[in-house]
Amino acid sequence: MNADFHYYATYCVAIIAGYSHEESQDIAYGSQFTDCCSRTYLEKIGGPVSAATTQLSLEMMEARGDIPTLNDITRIWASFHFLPGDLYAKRKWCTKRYLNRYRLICKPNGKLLTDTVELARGKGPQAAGIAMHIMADTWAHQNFAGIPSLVVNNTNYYFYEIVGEGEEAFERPVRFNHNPATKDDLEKGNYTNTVFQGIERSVMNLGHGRCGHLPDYSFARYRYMPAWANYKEIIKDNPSDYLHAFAQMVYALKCLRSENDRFETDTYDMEAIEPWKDRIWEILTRRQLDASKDWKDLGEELSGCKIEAFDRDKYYKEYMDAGGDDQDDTYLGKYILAALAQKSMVTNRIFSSGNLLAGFSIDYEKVGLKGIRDYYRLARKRGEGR
Amino acid sequence: MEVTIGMTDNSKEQVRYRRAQNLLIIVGKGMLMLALWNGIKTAGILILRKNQAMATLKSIPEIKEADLSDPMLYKIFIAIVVAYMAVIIGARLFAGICAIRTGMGKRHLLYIPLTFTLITYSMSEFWDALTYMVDGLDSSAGAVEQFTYTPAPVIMVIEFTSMIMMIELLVAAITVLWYRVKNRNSNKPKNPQVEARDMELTQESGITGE
Repeated sequence: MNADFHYYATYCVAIIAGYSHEESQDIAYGSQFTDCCSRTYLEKIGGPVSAATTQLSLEMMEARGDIPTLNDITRIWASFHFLPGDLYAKRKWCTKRYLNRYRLICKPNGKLLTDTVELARGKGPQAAGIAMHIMADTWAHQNFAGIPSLVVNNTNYYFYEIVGEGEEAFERPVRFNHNPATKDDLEKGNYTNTVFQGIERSVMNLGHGRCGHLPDYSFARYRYMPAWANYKEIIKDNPSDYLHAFAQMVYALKCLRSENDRFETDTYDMEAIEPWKDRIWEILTRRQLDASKDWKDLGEELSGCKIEAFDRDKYYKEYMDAGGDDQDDTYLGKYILAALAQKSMVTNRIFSSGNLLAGFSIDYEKVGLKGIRDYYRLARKRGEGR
Repeated sequence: MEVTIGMTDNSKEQVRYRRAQNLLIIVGKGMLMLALWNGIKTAGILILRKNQAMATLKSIPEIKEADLSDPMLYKIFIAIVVAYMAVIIGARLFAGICAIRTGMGKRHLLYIPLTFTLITYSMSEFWDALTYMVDGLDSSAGAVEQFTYTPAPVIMVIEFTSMIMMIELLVAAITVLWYRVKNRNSNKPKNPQVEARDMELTQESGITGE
């Protein structure tokens, strides 16, 4: 999903869920910041690079094809953008090597989603923001995996956009070009995607790169054949998926506010969004590359307050002015801890399922402090919390 | 907010149809590579194995020994060989392109009997290369020299592969054709590729339903 949903729509979700304007801003910031917190940014602020929640294009260009790099890529993308739906999925007539990749396919309402939301309980708006980002992306990015894999993520010529609604709906072939500088042309159905690379582990085959930005457009409906589907076609209905994501996020944030309600998958608070459902649907189905203005207008109507534009460096000074352990109490410090916790949890689940694609995971409570030094601060914080 | 959009059809038949279409595209591209291979093979033999070509001419009884020194004779020989290979290469290109277009939703039929002919050609090339290699192994004096005709094993492997490829192409082409004929008059929704192509053509020509 794009900034319009991760920031402004998440703000709307938080307001509907009963949070204040300031809390909603913080949650929305945390959600959108997940798309900005790269290794480069963390190096700039002097933070732990293992807390990276995304990778920039330039970082991807430098990525090698060796196993540690692939593990690093998988940890980031599977933990924050392509949460696996079922780490124990079964598939007939395939090797373990293929099955490991297949099990990383992102789907909504997986068990990991419950763990993600419950991990954010009591950890503040930063953790809630990360959880909302992940939840939203499970809907938008479903059927793709957060690992460079040709056999899972590839698409081909069989790609048709469904334009219009009801009786006026028709299908047209999607034309892809590989120039990232060109804008997607909604009128003619020309979109950009990554160039085909026949190498299994090429970064061109990461996530939904072969599909371009179509999964991130709320208006898009399209029919295609993913590589893992064995010549079965899938119709992706983004307006419906985004609406479900919105309703589920409202439910999740309400769960986080209450002490007793445990988050359950496949539950949507449609009642809460009913007064604004028509308006939301109108925003979701409008064919536009960026719906930020529409969501912002809705959010300001809901809260009666002005929503700040997203500024990546909003909390930069606070973090830089704090020293030593005090940094952990700043907004960015808490965000970093929440990101480390999320990445640690997902990597551990993937490793525990017998899948080494995210690398090894060490259980500190059993083995003691070993492995990546960045996680020591997380272990220390958890120790203090007891 | 009810939206009527196309339903997915993932029946076994439809999956088989899509698999056949995809195979047509892949094998069609392979045919284009084979056409390239034919061109490279011919050029290689004519340029690097000129002595071999001259030996072939010697075996024709009508050509006298004296005529072999005539450069025009060699040029005529080259022209005939090139013309012959151009037909083969053209046929492979045509079959490959038609297969790809059929896989993308267009309708072609001529490439199916053409592929049968190309299979026959491949079989003859394979047999020639095999007999040449066997003869080279059997001969006493000059066996090493004959056996150093290294393209023979390569030609055998490639022509065998091309035969398998063309048989796959035929199977896929017949599967696609059978499905399209079977569903021509049914009430099922048309193949979205064909529908989409018709929609494109309609829009381009400005024809409306009114």
